[in-house]
Amino acid sequence: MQSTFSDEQMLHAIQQGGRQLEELMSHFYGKSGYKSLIIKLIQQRNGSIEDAEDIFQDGVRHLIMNIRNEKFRGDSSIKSYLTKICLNLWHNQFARATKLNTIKENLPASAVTESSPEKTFLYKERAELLQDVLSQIGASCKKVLGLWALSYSMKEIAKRTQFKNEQVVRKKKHQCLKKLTVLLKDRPDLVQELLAAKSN
Amino acid sequence: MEESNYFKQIEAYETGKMSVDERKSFEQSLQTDEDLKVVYEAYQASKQVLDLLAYETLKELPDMDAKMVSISTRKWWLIAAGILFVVVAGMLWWQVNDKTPDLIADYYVAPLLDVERGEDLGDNKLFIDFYEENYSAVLQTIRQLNAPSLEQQLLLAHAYLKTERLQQAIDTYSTLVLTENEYTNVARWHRMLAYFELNQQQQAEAELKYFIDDTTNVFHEKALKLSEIQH
Repeated sequence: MQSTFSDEQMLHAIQQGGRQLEELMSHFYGKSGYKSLIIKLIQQRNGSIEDAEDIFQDGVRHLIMNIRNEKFRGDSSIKSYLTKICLNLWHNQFARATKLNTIKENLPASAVTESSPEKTFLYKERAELLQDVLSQIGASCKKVLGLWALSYSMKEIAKRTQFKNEQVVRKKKHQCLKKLTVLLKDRPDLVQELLAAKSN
Repeated sequence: MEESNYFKQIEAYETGKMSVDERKSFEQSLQTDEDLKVVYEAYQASKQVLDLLAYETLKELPDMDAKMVSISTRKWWLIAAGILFVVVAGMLWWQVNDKTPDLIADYYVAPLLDVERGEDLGDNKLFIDFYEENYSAVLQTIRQLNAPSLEQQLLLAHAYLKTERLQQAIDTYSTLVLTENEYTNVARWHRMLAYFELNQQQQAEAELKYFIDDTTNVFHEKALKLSEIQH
């Protein structure tokens, strides 16, 4: 496993997906020291270690999705970007509940503009919106499509699921995507909301 | 035109598998064919859903290595001592109870179930029973069904296997192996475990060879490990 990653290598691994992405995630959780940094920052803002671990996990997921969707402009290092995302998540998710009004004042100004609350909550809101559709496509489809969306090869997906080989996975992916499209087709309002979210 | 034809066309268009003329024709149809437009928009919207699924999948990715690194270093020696104890105790136990490893426990692969399927509450109860290892409830539920689905047949076979009704497990797995479906491979693997348990060496060895020979099979590596134990 690779022990160090430059920012360029991180961007490449995130875009490549699959095994390279997994190695990078192990690095995020381990030798990079990012996790301990975020835990320290959240604890300084009255968060518990459990809060901080949740925030770190969500932050890494947001970081990866933002980079894959080309929302990361590259005007800061990956470490700074992840830190900003995590602090924003902390602010958005917990500040109101714990009445920590000072958190916002302590945030760097760029953090607020770079990842707005709307963007931060997009995935959660979308998940709620799609709950019915997601419940109908089934766990195996969700897994196959989720891994495929992260650029896992058909062979890698076969290894992570119980399908015989890449041909079976390819067929399954096709069926799942079709099933998803058909389910959405019958919900025109939802389709329009999703398309509007895409263009924002 | 049928929905699946629309879907095929859209996939071909989106993945660049259409010629220039075909693309033009498709784009014209998008302007005039309202049904095609509806499916096309749904397809575009599904990309947003894929984004969400990718985000959800990321939660499951950090592997055990990563999680182990995050354990407080103050606790490492406790874990090391624990591991040492388990290893030593295991060696002693092995010397006292010298018998073959439990193939089913070691090589059984838990199925990936559609536990969140919303409308089918019956299945959800079945899945919960299965995950809670309440196999007698699983057997009872599925046996009452007139036409169990392939997934339910797999659960039935697994429940037989887990409750050591090995011949019934073999019979049920065999019905899944007869036709090519998404559970054929996993049924074949577990039927092989049942053959081994029943000492039906000839059938078991033949099945093991199948998994060893098929290097693309998802059970190939497990088969190689199993082969080392068996020989």
